[in-house]
Amino acid sequence: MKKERKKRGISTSKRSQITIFVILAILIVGILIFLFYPSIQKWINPTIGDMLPNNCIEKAVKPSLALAMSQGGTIKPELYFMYNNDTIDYLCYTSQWYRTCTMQIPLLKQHIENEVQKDSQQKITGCIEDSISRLESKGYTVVTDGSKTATIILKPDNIVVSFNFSMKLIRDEVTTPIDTNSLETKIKSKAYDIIMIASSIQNFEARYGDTNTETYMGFYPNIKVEKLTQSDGSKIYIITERNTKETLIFAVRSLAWPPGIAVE
Amino acid sequence: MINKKQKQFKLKLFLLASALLFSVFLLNFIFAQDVNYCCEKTTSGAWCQNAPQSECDSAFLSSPTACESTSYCKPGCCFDSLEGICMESTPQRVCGDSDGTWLDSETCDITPCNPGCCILGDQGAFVSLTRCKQLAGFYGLDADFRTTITDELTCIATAQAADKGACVVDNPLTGVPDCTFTLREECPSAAQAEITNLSYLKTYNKSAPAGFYNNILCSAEELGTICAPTQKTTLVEGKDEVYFVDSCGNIANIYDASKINDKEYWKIVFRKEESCGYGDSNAGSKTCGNCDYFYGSIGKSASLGTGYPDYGDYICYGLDCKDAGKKHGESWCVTDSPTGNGEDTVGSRYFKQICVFNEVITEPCADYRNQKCIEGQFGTYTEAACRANRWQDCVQQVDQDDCENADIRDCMWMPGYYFSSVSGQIEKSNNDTEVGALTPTGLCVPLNPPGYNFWTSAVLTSTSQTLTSSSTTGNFSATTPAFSATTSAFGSGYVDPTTASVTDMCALGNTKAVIKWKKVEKLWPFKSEEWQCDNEECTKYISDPSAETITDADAQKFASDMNEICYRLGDCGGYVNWLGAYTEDGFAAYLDSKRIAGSGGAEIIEAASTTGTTGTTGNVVVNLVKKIAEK
Repeated sequence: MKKERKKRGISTSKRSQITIFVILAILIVGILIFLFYPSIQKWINPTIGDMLPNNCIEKAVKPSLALAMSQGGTIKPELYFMYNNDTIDYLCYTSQWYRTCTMQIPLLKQHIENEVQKDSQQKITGCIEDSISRLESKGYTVVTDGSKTATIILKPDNIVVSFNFSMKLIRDEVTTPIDTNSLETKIKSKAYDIIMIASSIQNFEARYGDTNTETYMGFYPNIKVEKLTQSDGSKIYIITERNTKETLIFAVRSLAWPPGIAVE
Repeated sequence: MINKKQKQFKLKLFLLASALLFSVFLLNFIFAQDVNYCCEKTTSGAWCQNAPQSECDSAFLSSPTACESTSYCKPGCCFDSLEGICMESTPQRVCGDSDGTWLDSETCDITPCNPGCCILGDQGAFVSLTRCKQLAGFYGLDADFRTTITDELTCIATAQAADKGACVVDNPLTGVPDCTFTLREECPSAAQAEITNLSYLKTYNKSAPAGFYNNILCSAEELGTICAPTQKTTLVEGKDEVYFVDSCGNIANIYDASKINDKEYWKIVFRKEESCGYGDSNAGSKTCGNCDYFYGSIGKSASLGTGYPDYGDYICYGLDCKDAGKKHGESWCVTDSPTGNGEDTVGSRYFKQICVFNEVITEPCADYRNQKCIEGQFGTYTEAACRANRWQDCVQQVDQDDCENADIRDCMWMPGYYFSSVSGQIEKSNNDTEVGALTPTGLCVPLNPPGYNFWTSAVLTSTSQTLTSSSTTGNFSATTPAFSATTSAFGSGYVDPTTASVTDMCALGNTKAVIKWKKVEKLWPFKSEEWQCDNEECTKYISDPSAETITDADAQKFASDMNEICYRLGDCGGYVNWLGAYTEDGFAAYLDSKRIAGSGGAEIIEAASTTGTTGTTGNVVVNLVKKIAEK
């Protein structure tokens, strides 16, 4: 009798436990839906804005920018220093001893913009075409005007990606024009600030053959500048923005001293 | 027979030396001819380099002259008309390819690049006019460019001195004026009124009329605006401190817990110097937000790690490097092995470390000890810098004062030995002899011997001297292996930095001493024969001339002394590397033809692959020594 009660008791408690778990699961799902409702809604029923190409552009541009920045601003450097198995482009270079360097990439910002633009172009085109497909799947007829490319400009605090085309979305005889301005995308980045400091370092290296990294870190608290002098006299500069962790690595060879005395 | 063999050997040696010298001359000639090309682009991809013709990319221009003299590689200024920046030492072609404007001034000393004071709000930048306009465009401000201000500090001070205060604007809806704390030029009502005597308003219980109130905060009770003091704080972009913020969101004075209910503190603007804890970092202070980056703190969101302030959510965050025991901004020197006194080890290097933002950053000085790290103490603050190691002309100095003149060179005086201009090698100073200007009492050697890349040298010639023996002459020599392409500087005691090759320095340590005795007949107290010194070397190096032979102790002393000179000349001789491993590959000492010290020379010719910073002193190669000895 005792055993039977005990048995019944166990099964009752099991059932109530299951009930509690189900209630908890429903509650958790409910909370998750509540928290992620905007995203879920976007996914189920996206607006035109959600389907425009500027939404996928960050994924297309940022990796190219990071790659360029990790190699002195060039995607495939021709003149480089091998550092930690990476090819680091020389921004200012001399092959001689005791001489200051000659500028190799004078306008670094424009150079990086061009490199990133070239490298990410395919992804940008893919992004645009993907966007058009999504719009078409929602019943829109998409009419584009101009080339399906984008221009990348680095500005303080962000990367501005502007598309070189406009769109017209037609559905149910209603035309919605999407001009180039509304397609413009701003991606948060401190690359501009970093590049301007690199340009200043280039000038110092070209004139004096060296720089004092503490000066830069003193003036710009958010910037970390590392200078690693290599055995052949090349210097690897690593500039990091402390908040975004964005980094520019480049090489310079200026006023290099030989082992012993070199006769030139 | 011996004489004939010796003559043959001498002839062979002469021919060999002549052939080597000719080769060197030829190589130098070729080198000199080849390096004087200006390559518009090299095969490695570098623009405008003076290099051998073989390195010039044939698809680009090249000419047998220095790049400075060519039109296509003349360095100039590359002006970026969009950003307003000027890049120095840029060849015309490179600038053109980058869409820049090339101007004929290597150092950009031209009008578009001349800096002036660009005032943007309360910020100042010492930049060119174009740059100023570009910055103004970025931040949506009017460019105020002043050419009369000629330095950066004055520019910043001028910008910061710009009038800032409460901008009161009427609000007809509420009847209570609105207020923003801003610059005079950004205040739309600035032209309407400015009452400096706020007590007038209070006395007559009036709200302030619309207008700009310089140095007054929006929370000033007298203004009667909707803005009131709060207990909230905030951070301001570009500033270090934690600031109070009023109920309208305007920035007020620097956070000071003791002034939270101080009406005066919420009325007028207090300068940084007038605020709490000025001159200190105030790191971790619960009551004061006067953080200062230069003193080692910056405003940051409060957290468990930073601690919490009495009011608000921000605190001065300390930037010192506690683990290293250094302050933020301090720099100091470190080395990977003992340095100085001519005892820098092979492969060792100087480093500068900097404490910035809680982090120690290590900067290596130039390798091969071409730079040394120097540091100075300013109170409790240490500052260091990598600077050139000025060892190059040490061996040229014959005067101790000149040698030890720390203003112009980094050398040390080694008494006891000198470079003899007569014998062309190192000799022991004889204190009994008056030493003239050309025979100094000591040797000037680098205080921090330089490093050489001894492991990559391929052209090797011996600078060892032949060994002879006779019953009355004992020869011993200490040899620093030399692998220079010339023997001209061997033992000369003088190395001209403009003509010497890298490893001539090691060859300076090559020394040979010929000891001569003579048999003297003694008549008293009874007739006998005795050996006595017959040359100066004998009296210098031999402790007991009557012994008729060079003792092991004398030979070892000579070898040891010579080695000490060798390793002070650079990565020469037998010495320890930076890991503490001692090797003698760079040193060989012989008594007559018998090796008495060092492992350099013929026996270890195969060991020449000992390399790098973990290797040891000068690789060696005095193969000829043994050959000579065998002959």
